[in-house]
Amino acid sequence: MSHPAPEELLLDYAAGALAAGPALAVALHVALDPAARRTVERLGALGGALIEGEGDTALDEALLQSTLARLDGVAVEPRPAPYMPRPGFEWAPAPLAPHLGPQTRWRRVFGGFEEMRLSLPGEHRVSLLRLEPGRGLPMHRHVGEEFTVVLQGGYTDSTGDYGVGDFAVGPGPEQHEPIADPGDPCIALIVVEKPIVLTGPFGRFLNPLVRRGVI
Amino acid sequence: MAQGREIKSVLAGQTYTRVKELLVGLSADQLVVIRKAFFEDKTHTVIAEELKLPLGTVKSRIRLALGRLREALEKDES
Repeated sequence: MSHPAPEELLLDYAAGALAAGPALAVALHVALDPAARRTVERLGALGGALIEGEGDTALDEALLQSTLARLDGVAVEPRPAPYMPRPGFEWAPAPLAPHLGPQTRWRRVFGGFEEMRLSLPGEHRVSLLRLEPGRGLPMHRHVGEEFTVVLQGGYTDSTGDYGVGDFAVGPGPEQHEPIADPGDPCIALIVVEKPIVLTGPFGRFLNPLVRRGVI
Repeated sequence: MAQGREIKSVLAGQTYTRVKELLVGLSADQLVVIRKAFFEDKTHTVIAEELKLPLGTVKSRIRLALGRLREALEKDES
């Protein structure tokens, strides 16, 4: 994996501190990247060990026994059905499934560029973008934080090549122009804190639409 | 309580018990940041603001702590 999520973001995720949008981005990355999954598991163990070390409250033996006895009475739940992506959504890892309702579908933004908006609580704009090979996003710069996870195909920008499972953090004020790689169309989840500002020749016309949330 | 501890380690896996030992090896600076994350559900950005530390300092503490954890656990696994 050439572009892992930063470890401090994995800690935020493991601690349950992230807002819904960024948490989904990290969950998808973790679903696709075994190294990130191992890190999150370790962080979970670290959190558990910290909580365990807290206060040293001795567990009352009788309480332990009665709790264990109650557990014996709990019916074993059937194993959840294995995740089966919907037809046409084979690229979607399991954490995305709850957000893909029957009415979520691709909307054409312009030639070779489609978007699927997801509604999650919080201040972030969460979308799936689908770019045909060779197509690029308009030049834009980042105002707030931006997280990208590649789910199919790949893209290249001034910071490098990104493939399935790769995670990108918005590079701040510098401009960049991602172009989809040859092969399958590039599908990525993008989580943006604030509307982006388009800086290319069409930016002046598109920015009011961005601000209104049209694109 | 030896039996209780055994049950816990079986439930949570080997990593958990090992991590508990490793916690001792983390610096106080690293622990403060990680504790705040887990106990107060705060992101590293918020933690940096609260502790009045540069964001880079908080990030490097998290990375150092994780590096130590990974190193020690991977040595166990190999």
